[in-house]
Order: sequence, then structure tokens, then C-alpha cells
Amino acid sequence: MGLAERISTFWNSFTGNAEFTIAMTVSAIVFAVLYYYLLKFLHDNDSGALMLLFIMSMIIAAGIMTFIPSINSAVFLLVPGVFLIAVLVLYSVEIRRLIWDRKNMRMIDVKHDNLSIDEERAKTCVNEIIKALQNMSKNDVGAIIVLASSNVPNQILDSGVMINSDVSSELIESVFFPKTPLHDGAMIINGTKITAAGCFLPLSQKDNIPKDLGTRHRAGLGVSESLDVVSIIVSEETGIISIARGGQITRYADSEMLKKVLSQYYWQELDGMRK
Amino acid sequence: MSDKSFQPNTEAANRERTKRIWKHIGLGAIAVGLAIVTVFVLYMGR
Repeated sequence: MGLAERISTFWNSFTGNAEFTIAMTVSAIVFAVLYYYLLKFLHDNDSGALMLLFIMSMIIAAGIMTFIPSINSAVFLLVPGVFLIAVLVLYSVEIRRLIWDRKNMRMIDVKHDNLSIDEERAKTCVNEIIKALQNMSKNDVGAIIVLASSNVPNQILDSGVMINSDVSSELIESVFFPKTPLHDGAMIINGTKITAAGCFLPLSQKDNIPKDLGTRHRAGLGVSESLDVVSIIVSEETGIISIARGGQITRYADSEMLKKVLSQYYWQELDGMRK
Repeated sequence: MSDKSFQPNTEAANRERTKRIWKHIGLGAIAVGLAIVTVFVLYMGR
């Protein structure tokens, strides 16, 4: 039976038999969802080559199966199966972080309609941080702020100076004011307190970071790769505000985006305090 | 220090958003294509 004839038989069965149509549609949807997430994961982790290899392998395998009908078609499933196992092994760290992030995002979703008495303080902190970021942005003052949840290693905190003060825009701007002793390091904010400033962060080792992003951005990205934190970076050259989370950096953050990210962080913190 | 006012680069942000949407559409199209190929190959073996 030729390929055209097989496609024709397949189409006739698909349109003529309701049970067959449902079975094929459901299978196609399941496979499409699986492939989509696999491709998206590879794309997000800059594995273009592996993505291309997967697509090419699928096409070649399908070609072989079509022209050599004696091979059991279930063998075809070995291709996505092997790729899935390879991805699980090669990207175990990234997958673990993905699961961790999903868990946290679910917590954030629940929190918005469940406000506590600390909400006012959280709102003040959000506004103070945004005000400081915007002032530093317009004056081209470089800054890096890490929003943490008591999960920053002592090694990082010890590299800076402990502050333990309430969040205020004046204090943030003073710390990052050029030529002051602490302006070059990172500020760690833990809930409504500025824990430390002038801290050294691990740098990202990714080689696909745009050349116009300097060490400050690399540090913000690096800390978000290894810890469940959000870092906000203000570029000294351009004043552009960037947000790094889960090893991904988003540039050109405006006040709306900042408000969203900071609100998510503070609602997460409030929820943690209630537990 | 320069005295420019704070101006969020909405044009660049919109460009990034459009790029993200196209990325999802592209990956979705490839995934659907591969799913149809898989289902067809599995059907041929019946």
C-alpha cells in the first residue's frame, strides 16, 4: 500500500468512524501537549541544537516507519521516550527548580484574596522600593536588589554589611549612591527589612547573556539560578530596570511590572508568616 | 548625573511580548505537527 493510499485510508477512517475519530484526536492532543512542553523546556534552556535534533529524529523515524512497514510502529515511540529520559537526566537541576517555582506560583495565586493586617506594611514596602528604583533609573545609578525569603546563605550575607533596617526609598538610594562604600554590592531584602548591603553574589556562567549586560546583571541572574529569589537590577549605563527570576532575565521593566513582581513577593511573604 | 525623567521603554517591552507570543505559536505548531505524525505512524502499525 502506497503512502497516498494509507493517508486516504486513515482519513476515511477518521471521518467515517466516530470512535476512531475520538481515539485519534485524544491521542494527538496528549502527544501535542507532551511535545509542546518538551520543546518549550528545551527552548527556555537554550538547547536549540537538542530541539532541532529531536524534530529531525522524529521526522527521520517517521520516514523510516512509513517506507519500511515491517517495523513495529510502537518502535517509533522510542524516539520521544529516549529524548524524554535524556532531558530528565541532563536537566535534572532545571526540572527541580521548575517544580519548585510552580509550587510557589500556586501559593501566590491563593494569596490575593486572603489579606492580613500586614498588608499595609507590604504595600508601603512595594511603593518605597518602586520609588527608589525609579529614582535610581532616572539618574543612571546602578543597583541590584535581591528579594529573598530567609533562604540566602550566610556566605552571601557575610560578604556584605548587615543592616536590618526597615525598607525605605531614602535608605536604598543612599546605599547605591555612587562612591559610597556599599554601592557596588547587592542589597538583600527579606520581607519588610533590608537585611544586608554590599553583598557579593555568584555570577551566572551562561554564555548567551547579551554583551551589553554587565557584571551586575550577571550577578542578579546568577543568584536567581541557584536560589529561589527575585533580583531587580538597575543598569548604570542606561538606567534600564531588569528582573531576574529562576535563571531568566526580563528587561525593560516598567512600574506595572515592578508592582506585579513585588506584590507577588510580598504576598508570598505574608502567607509564609501566617503559616 | 543626567536629568532625564523616568520613561519606561514600553516599545521594547511590547516587542518582547510579541516575540514571546510568536514563540508559543511556533512551538505549538511544531508540537501539533509532530503529534499528527506520531498518531499517523502508530495508526499505520495497526
